[in-house]
Amino acid sequence: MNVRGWRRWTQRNPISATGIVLALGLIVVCLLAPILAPGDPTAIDLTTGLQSPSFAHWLGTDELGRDVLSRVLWAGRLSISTMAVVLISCVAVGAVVGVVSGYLGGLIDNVAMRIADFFHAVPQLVLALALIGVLGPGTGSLIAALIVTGWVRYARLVRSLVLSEQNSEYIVAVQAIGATHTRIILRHLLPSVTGPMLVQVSLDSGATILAIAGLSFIGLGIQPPTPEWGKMLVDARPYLGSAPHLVLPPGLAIFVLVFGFNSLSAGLEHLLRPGNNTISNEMTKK
Amino acid sequence: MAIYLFKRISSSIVVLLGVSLLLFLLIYLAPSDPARIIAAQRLGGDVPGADEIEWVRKEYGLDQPLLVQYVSWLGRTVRGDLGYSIRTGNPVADELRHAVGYSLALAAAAMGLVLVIAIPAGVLAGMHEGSVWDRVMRFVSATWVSIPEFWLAFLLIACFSIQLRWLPSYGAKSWRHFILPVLSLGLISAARLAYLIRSAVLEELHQDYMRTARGKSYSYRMSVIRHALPNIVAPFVTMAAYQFSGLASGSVIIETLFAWPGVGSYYVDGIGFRDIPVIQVTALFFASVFMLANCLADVVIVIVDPRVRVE
Repeated sequence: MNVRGWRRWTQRNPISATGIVLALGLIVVCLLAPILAPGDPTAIDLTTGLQSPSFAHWLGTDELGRDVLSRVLWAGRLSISTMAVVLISCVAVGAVVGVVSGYLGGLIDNVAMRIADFFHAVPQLVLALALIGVLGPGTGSLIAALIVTGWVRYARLVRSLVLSEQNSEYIVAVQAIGATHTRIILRHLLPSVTGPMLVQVSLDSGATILAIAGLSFIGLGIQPPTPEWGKMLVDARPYLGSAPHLVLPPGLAIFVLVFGFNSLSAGLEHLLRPGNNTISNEMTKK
Repeated sequence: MAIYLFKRISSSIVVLLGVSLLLFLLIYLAPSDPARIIAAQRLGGDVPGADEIEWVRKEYGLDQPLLVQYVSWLGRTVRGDLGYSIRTGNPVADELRHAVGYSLALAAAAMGLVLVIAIPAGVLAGMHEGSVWDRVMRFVSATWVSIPEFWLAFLLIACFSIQLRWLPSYGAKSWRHFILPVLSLGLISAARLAYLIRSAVLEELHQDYMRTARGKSYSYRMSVIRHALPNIVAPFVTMAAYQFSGLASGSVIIETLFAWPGVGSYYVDGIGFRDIPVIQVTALFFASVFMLANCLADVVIVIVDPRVRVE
């Protein structure tokens, strides 16, 4: 890793660097929700409903008397782990399809890329919604829908990178010394695509957080009583004017995470640019 | 050029056919028998008996081979017979036509706002790289693209509807109902597009022809207007078409939030009720709009950029 380049980038972009640190902090705090959360995120107590922030409840309570801070933390834990599951699966599926398709070429490549075209032709949110509509709303459907609609980007990215690497001298050299296809793919092609993949993953991390919150916001993602940022916002709608402590924390949490991931992807892309600018080519093509 | 257009349009049609097949096969992903779902919904929640399910299977052609079902569904869809909504029993074509008008008005207004903000902001920032204006613009766009649009909508409602009582927070009755949904939808897209325009302008400013133009003692502003801007029209059209498609999916959430009777909220209502004909047709509609926007963008590019024609 290019530590000096990274340090120079953070010095030149202090706001982005702050965003990354804040997001990192938020992720740690959210993942530690079982230890840090002051109360039970689903415990209802109607006698203490709609309280403003106080020492007992740092971010106040919602209309059912549930502790907002605990809910924000638990919701974050769920969103972050859901996002991780979605992205790891997308990368795995996309990498396999992309490498096989780009390396073998021919009929397999043609069929795989036509299928990818079909998925790419519909905006991701719209297609994910159609899947959720058929499967019925819930966390499982949400994850399935985001994976089914998300792998395509990685397949295309990996394929284009493999195609551009394939004829470079070092690959021809290992082919000449008789390396097997599996060895070439695992030891030489995959490592060469990790950089651009990381940029795309951190960009998509933010997008996935937004998608989870957005789908839950319209009632088609994570279902109550499980706390979720988008859902918390919808529930706060009747109290928009009277209880800002219900509206600000979930939205700010989403913003901090997404901003952090976007900044991280900008920084990573900057680091990769001198040697290898395939990622920026791929992104402008979209 | 005619050959290029023909190729472009025919490949879009192939992709659209693929999407329609994808959406058609969607029903078979449902965890239970589609005939049972339809029968249950026709009975309004009662548990359907075996003969009712069989009747639905026959009536809806669900006993035919898959390919036959797909071809007949596609044939009917292309002719404009979009089937009936399970939820309301009305023809989907009529309901969709009603919703499209509202969505188009909203999208057009939002797109107008996006262009009015993004073009001057992006061009000015690109022309004066490193200036205060450029830094402000970069900061604003980097932060704005990370704001969830539904949260922005809530903040706008809290400010303009609840505190100031200037604007209504839901419905679509008058021009005043347009303002908050258009702002929620457009401001974030505008930030994204402005940033892309800035990068495109910067890229052109470093080209050799710009140095030549300055060498011929053109002023900086004139050389940008006469030489750099015509060159960013092509990338700009692609980016704008992409943003327009983004508006289409953004409208799903924003329309639901503002109870706007457009295609987006129609779609969400259909999904909530597992109204499969509505889901299929509306998703296909979104895909078609997306394809059409990209196709139009490519046509415009062929017209304005002769280099594409040579390829």
